Amino acid sequence: MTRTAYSGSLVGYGQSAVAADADLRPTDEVAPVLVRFDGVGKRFDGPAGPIAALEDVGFQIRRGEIFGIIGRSGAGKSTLIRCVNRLERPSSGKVVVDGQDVGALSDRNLAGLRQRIGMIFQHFNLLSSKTVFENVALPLRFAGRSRKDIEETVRPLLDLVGLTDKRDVYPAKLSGGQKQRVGIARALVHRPDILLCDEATSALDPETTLSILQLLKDINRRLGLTIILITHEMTVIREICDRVLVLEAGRVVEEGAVSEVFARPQAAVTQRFLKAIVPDLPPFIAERIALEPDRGCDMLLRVRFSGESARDPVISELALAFDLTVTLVHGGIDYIQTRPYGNLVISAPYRGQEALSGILDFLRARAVQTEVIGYVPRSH
Amino acid sequence: MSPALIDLFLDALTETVIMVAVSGAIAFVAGIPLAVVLVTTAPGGVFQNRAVNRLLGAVINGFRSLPFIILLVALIPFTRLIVGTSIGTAAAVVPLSISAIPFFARMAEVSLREVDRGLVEAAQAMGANRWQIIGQVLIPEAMPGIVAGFTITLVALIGASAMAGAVGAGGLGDLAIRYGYQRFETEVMAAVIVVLIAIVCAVQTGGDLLARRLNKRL
Repeated sequence: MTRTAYSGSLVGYGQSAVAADADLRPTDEVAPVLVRFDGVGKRFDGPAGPIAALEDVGFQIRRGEIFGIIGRSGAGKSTLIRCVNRLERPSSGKVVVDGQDVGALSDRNLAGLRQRIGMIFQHFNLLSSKTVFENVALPLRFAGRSRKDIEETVRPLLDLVGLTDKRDVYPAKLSGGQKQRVGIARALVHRPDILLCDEATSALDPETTLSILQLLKDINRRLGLTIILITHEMTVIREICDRVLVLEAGRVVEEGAVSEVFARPQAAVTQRFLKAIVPDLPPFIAERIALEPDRGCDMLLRVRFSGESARDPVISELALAFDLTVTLVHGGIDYIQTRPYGNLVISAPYRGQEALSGILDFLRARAVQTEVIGYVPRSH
Repeated sequence: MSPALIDLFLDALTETVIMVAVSGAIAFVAGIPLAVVLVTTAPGGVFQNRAVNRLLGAVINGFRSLPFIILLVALIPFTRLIVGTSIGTAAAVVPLSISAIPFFARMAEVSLREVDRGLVEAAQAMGANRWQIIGQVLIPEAMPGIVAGFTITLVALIGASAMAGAVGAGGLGDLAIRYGYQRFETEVMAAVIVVLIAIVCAVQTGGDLLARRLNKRL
């Protein structure tokens, strides 16, 4: 097998991804630019002289996109996202939102702009002294809306995030996922054009993270909201982003469609981030992983067992039940004290989304954590 | 205790309650704005202003470093200017308030400063102006702590009011000194002690209860 053969299949994947994108969102190509960063730099005064948090950052975000910014801690992500609504002021360059230079706005116009930009936070930032309803209503109270107006706006939003029955509860009584839902409802009360997500799922467990990401995707589709999120988790990018920007030491090191960046990561940081979600796979497989299935590809599943299920012949049962050729790609079983823990990567022919969900249900019913890593074109 | 003494006792109790209540109310009303100024003019605050912050901090420290009995005497001209006399219950309210205001302001400052900066940032992101941040975020979030601080202030005021007898303000402390100590009427002394303990306990319990009810974090 030669390297050219793989890159050939990658090109094939890339084309199909573009085609699929275009089917889903025909307006994507012509959507106007909503946010533009133009040579943005930001310096902070540190004890040992000025520290550059951002340097010459330039990119554009189009209306309706879910745009992800990934970087390690200290890469400047938080500073960058705060430049959009001027919680931080750039030291150089400019940020343009919907044609307005954010740095040049008067206080009054800035408040107006901020109403059009919702924001959610890693630690939710809900007021502990106010109920769910009052928290969601707060931006409207700041804007001086009438009681009736507030009631009419907040109620459907609580419904949207599934917290109608919690309206008079204080945040301390909510789970992390519920708190973030309150944060999302609060961020949407002014019907913003843009939603900024500052590590919005970093304090949540994996399952809750998925449900929050689903909600964000849903809002993006239904309300046409442009979402800008920062994260240090590649899974978040993979789950919902259309495009991704990789930030390292305050500079943009990579930017592009998520499918492109995942298929052909250029920068070393990007490759490291990808490694975190596809660890230890032999490079000849890792390099070929695609995010969307293609005709005649294999799917790669990561299955994790713990305790008793690790002793059950789950994989052979799976093969029998679905008449599948299951190949073990990578993994093994560890023993922690005397409890077995399995972490396997298996591959099997992809036979459509329905068959895949059947397989996932089968495995999950057997207390096996299962995750689709991606799809690999079958080698000939 | 003779009926005459009981009358004296009730008068003294009333005087103490008036002194503490009035100066407590003044300290509350004046202390919160001072605390807000201290917190918001500090570095990173919404009205960041180093000069104002330092000056106010220095003035508050100055008043706080004076023992109450000295403040009581030193403020006599000022008291006369405000209430027209430097003797009596009303006159004692002035130095009591002046000593309680900076004390309570520092207490409230701590509570306000403990409000998560993320909340201020969230409010800014919603388009709140600085006054809205103070009135609708900082103060409501700090309220349980402010109430707890005010309770401590009231207890301190009850203690300080015992010294107000020095300017003829009356009150329980004055009664205990004049009858209990100088005339060896142990009964009066004991009664004053019991009543003071009861008042302090009631104030503390009430304050704790209110602070707990306001605290929705649990």
